[in-house]
Amino acid sequence: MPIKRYMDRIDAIEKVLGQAKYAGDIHIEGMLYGVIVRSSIPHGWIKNIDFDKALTYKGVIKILTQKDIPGENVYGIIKKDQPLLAKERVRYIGEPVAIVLGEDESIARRASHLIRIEYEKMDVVSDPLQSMNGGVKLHDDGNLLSHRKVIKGDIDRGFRESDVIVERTYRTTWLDHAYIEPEAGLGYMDEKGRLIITSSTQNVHYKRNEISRLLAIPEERIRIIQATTGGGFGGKLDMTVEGYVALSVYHTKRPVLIRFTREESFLSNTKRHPLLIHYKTGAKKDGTIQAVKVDVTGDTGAYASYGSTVCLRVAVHATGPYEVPNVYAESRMLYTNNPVSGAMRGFGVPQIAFAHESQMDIMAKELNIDPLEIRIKNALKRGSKTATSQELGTSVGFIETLKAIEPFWKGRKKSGTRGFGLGSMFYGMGNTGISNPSSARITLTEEGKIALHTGACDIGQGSDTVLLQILCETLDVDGKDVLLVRADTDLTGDAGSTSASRQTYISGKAVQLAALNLRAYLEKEGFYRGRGISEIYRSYRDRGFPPFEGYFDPPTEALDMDTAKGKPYATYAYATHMAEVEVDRITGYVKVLRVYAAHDVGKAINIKNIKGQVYGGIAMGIGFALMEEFIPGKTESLDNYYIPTSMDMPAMEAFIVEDEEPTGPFGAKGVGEPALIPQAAAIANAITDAVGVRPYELPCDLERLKKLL
Amino acid sequence: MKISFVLNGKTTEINTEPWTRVIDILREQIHLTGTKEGCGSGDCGACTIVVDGESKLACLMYAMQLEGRNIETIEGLKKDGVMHPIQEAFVDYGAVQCGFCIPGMIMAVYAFLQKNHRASRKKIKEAISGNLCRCTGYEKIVDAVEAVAKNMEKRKKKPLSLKMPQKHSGINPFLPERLDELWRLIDGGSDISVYAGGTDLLVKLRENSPSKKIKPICLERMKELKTVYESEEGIFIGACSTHSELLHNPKIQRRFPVLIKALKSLGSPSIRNMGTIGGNICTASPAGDTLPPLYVLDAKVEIRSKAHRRLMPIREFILGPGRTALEKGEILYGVWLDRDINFNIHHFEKIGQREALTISIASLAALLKLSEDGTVEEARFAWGSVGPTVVRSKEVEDGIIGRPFNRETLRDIVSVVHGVISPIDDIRSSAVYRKKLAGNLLFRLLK
Repeated sequence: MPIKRYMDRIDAIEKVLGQAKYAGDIHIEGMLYGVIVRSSIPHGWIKNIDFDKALTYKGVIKILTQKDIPGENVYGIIKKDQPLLAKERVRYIGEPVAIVLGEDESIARRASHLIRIEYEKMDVVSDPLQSMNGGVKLHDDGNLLSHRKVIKGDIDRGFRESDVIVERTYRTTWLDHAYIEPEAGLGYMDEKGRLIITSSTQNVHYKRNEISRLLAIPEERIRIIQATTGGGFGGKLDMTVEGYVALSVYHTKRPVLIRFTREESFLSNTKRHPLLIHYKTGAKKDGTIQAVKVDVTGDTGAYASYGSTVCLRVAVHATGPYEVPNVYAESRMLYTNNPVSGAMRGFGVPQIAFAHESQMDIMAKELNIDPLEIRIKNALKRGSKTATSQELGTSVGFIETLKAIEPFWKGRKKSGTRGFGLGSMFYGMGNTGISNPSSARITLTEEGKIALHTGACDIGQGSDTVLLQILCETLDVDGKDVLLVRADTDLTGDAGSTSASRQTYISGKAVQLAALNLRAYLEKEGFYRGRGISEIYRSYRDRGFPPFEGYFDPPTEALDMDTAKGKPYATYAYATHMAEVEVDRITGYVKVLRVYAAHDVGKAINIKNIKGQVYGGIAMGIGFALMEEFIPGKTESLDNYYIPTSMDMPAMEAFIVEDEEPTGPFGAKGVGEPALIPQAAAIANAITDAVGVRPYELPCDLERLKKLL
Repeated sequence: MKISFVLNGKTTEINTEPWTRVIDILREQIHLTGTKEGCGSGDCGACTIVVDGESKLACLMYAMQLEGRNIETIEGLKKDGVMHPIQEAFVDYGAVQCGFCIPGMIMAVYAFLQKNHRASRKKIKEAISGNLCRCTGYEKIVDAVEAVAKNMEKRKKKPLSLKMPQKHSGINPFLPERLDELWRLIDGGSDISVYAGGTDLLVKLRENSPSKKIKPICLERMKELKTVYESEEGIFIGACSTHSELLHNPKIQRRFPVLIKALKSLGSPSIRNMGTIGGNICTASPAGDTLPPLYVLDAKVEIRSKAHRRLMPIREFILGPGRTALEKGEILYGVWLDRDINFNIHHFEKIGQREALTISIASLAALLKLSEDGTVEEARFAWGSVGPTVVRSKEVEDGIIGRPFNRETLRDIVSVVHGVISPIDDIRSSAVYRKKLAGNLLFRLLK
C-alpha cells in the first residue's frame, strides 16, 4: 500500500521567501559577537598568551580562555577527550584557544588578530602508521583510539579454497561537509537566569548535556533549540559553536552570537576520516566469494569525535552487501596532529564501499564474469548471514536494486573513452550495536490541532515533513490539522541525533506509535464520528492528560568485543548506482554523463524527498570521487576546496525499491547516507571501464588520473 | 555617508561607511536576512542579489556602489501577497532542502529568466553555476526553473520596469563618474587604490586586519571606461567593461572568438556581471582567464594619468604575479585590439577541476592562419598558469610556420614549449602535470 498522505515540504515556503531564520540571522538588541582564536601550530605547549593589545581594542568586552570554564573543560560525543579551549597544549592547527567578545563582529575579528600566543613546539605526528609506532604520544592512554575486528568462519581456509585471490590497497583523504551554511549559534539568558541557545545543529539533547558539564550547571537550567539548519552531513553533530556561546553568555550575561566564516568552518569542523585500506578477496571460479580479509588504518586526528564509530562501522560493512562465509576485517583508528575527523555522511562506509566495489570489479574481470552477475551471485538476501553472523530476516531488497539497474547495464554501449561502472552498498540503519532510541509525543491544542513534539532535527533532509506525514497517515487526518514542535529541549523529548540515516526509521516509528496511542483515544472519543479536536481537547483537559507517547529503539544486539558477532542493526538499506563517464586522456578529466540509482528504502514516505536525497548524494559522491580534498593549511576556503557545481552534474534517474521493513513506520527505512555511499565506487569502476586504468586513491582528480594514463 | 537607492521597490536611504559590504548593509543594518553569506569570497552565490536587472554578489560590493541603483533581494519577490512563479515552482518541484542556498539561487534564476525566455536545461545549469548547493544535486532546482521558463514563454514578455531613485545630492567622493573627479581623488593621498569589479579586491580586504587603511575608489560609474568602440587605431575596450558586457557585444563576438571562449569559462554569471577586463588585467594573475587571449591578440593597454596617456603591449604591462607597469597616479584606461585579425582558427581551452567557478590549472589560447593546403602561415600561442605571467614564445611560433599543420609538427614543438614555460607546484596541481598539459593542449587544435 502506498502512503496516501503526500505532503510538500512544510519548510519550503518560508525558505523560498527568505524568511526562514537560520541561527546567524537572529538579531537581539545589545548582543555581543564572539570570535574564536585558534592555534596556528599542530602541536605544542602554550607558553604565554598576550592579550594586552586585544583587550584594549575599542569595543572588546571580554576575552575568555580555559581558565574561565567553571565545569569540566572536556567534551566528546563518545569519548570525552577534547577540551573546549586548549589547556596547556594544542594538538592540531585550528584548535580553539580563546574567545574574543566584542560589540560587533568586525571588532571581535580585528581584535582576535592582535592576540599573540607563544608556543613551545612539540614533535608532530601526521601519519597514522607512524602514530601506531609510538614516539609522539598524543593522549595519556596512547595513540590508538579504537581497534575492532569482525571475524566469521575460517579466513585461512577461505583463501585456501579460493581459485582466485585479489589483493589491493586503497586510500582516501579528508573531506569537508561544505554545507552552505557555516556553523552559527546565538545564546542569551532569560529573565529567570536560564541559558537559552539556538543553533545550527543535528541534535539538541546531546548538546545540553555537554554544556551542563562544561558550565557545571544542571541541565534544567539550559535550553537548546534548533534553528533552521543549512545542512549538516555529520558536521553539526559534534559541538560546533554551542560551547563557546554558552561560556560567553555565562560570563557576560548578554546575548552572544557566534557564526563562523567559511574559513573558520574549514578549520574547525570534523572531516571525513582518511582511510588506508588493504583488501584481499578470494573467490571460486564461478564467482562465489569465499573469503574477505580487510585491514583498515584510519586517521582520527587530534581528538576522538566519532573515530571509534567509524572504526567499527567500517569493519562491519567491510564485505559490502555480499554474503561471505569467511571474513577477517580489522580496523584501527589512530590519533595524529591532523584535523579532527568525525561524522560525515556514511561514517566510513563510502570509503570502504570504494574498496569493496573496486574489488568486485577486479574479481569479475579476473574471472571473466559480468560485474552485475557477480554482484547478484553474491548478493545478501533473506536468510543470508552478514559478516557479524546476523541472519537477515526481512527487507533485503538488494537484488531488486540490481535488477532495477540491469536494463541500463545491459543496454550500455561502450565507445571511445566512455565507460560504465556499478557501485553497490548496504548500510545499517542507526547506531552500531547499541541502544539508540527515539521518542515522540503528541498533544492536542485548544485551537483544535494535533501537535507533534519531536526532538528530531531537520537539517534539510526533510524529517519535519516526513514525520508529519507519518502522523497524518496514522491518524488519517489532513496536513492542515497538524503542527510541529521540533527539536527544543524544553518542548520535545530526546529523539537522538540526526545521523546514521535513522530519523525516518526510528523517530518515524516513535511518531507512528505515539499516533496509534492517540488514534485509539480519538476513536473512543468519537473523533472519527465527527467530534472535533477542540471539543475533545476540552474534555481531555478536564479529565487529565493521557500520554500520547511513542518510543522506539531498534532491536539490536551488542557486538562481541573480539569477533563483533551479533546484531549491530535491526535492518539495512541497500542500493546500486550505475555511472557513465567520459575520460579525457589528454588531461585526465572525468565527466560524469549519466547516473542511474536504485535504492531499497523499505517504503517511500515522501518520494520527492527521497529523490532529492539521492540526487544530492550523487553530487556529493561525484565530489568525493573526482575533486574534493581537504589539505590542512591549503584548501581552507570554497575558493580552493571544490564541490560540484550544477554544470558538473550528470543526467540522473532514481529508482525506488520497496522491500518493507516490518519494524519501520509503514515499512520505511532510511536513505540519507545510502544516497552517497555507492557513487564514488561506481565512478571509479566506470573510469576503469573507460580507459583501462584503475584509481586506488580518491579523489581521482585530473592529475592523479593523468599519472595513471 | 548617506546613500540612497531603491530596494525592492522602495526608495531607501542609509547612513553608512562607504566600504561596508552590501551584504552587511542588507543583513545587519536593514535586517533583510534572506540574503545569506556562505563564503564571503564570491565562491558560493548564497548572497546573490539583483542590481539593475543583473545578478551580483552582495559580499563583493561596497555600500557606496548601491547609490542610485535598483536593488532586488529575495524579500522583494513576493508581490501583493503572491509568490513569484519561481518561488512557487521551487516549492512545487521539491527544489528546496536545507534552503540556505535558495534565496541566492532564486535571485540568480530571476535575473536569468528576465533575459532568457527560452531556456534549455543546459542554459539553466550555466545560469546557476555560481550558486553552490550541497543538498539537492541541483536536479529539482533545474526542473523547477525549466517549468517556469516554459510558462514564461507562453506569457507575454513584460518589459522590465525599473524604478530609478533620485540621485543623491551629495556626490559620492569614492564613486567618480568623470576622469577629472578621479584625478582629484587620486591626488588626494597615499591610502587610495582603485577597483573596477571588486571580485578580487574585496576578497583580499575581507580579513578585517586592524592595520587596514586603504580607501578603495570604485570605477564602475566611469562611463568612458565602459565603452567599446572602433576607430582608426583599432577596437577599444574600456577597462571597466564587465565580462558579461563583452560576452554579449556583437563586435567582440564577431572578431575575437578566442576572447569570447575565455570569457565564457570565467567564474560564474554573477562574477562575470561584476568582474571587468581591466580588473582581470591589473590583477595580473598568471591564471587570469582573459590574459592568454589578450596576449595572442597582441593587445595594447592604454594607461592614463592626469598628465599623460601611454600605450604599451600587454606583455610588457604585466611584470609578474600581481605586478604591473602602472605607476603612481596611473590607471588602466582600456585595451586596444587590432581590427584586422585574420586567423582561421581561434582556440581557447582552460583546464580546471570542475566546469564552473574554477581557477585554471593551465590554459591555452591560440590563433592560427592556415593556407589552403594546410600549411601554417601564422601562429600565436599563449599559455596561462604555467609561469609567473602568461607565456608567449617567438621560438614556438616561428618553429611552426611553414610546416604542415599536423600531429608531427605539433609533436616537434612540444619540447620547445617545455623549454619556455616555468610552471610551479601549487594547491591546484604540480609543475610536472602543468608541463605535460601545456604541451598536450596543443593537440586539441587538430580537432
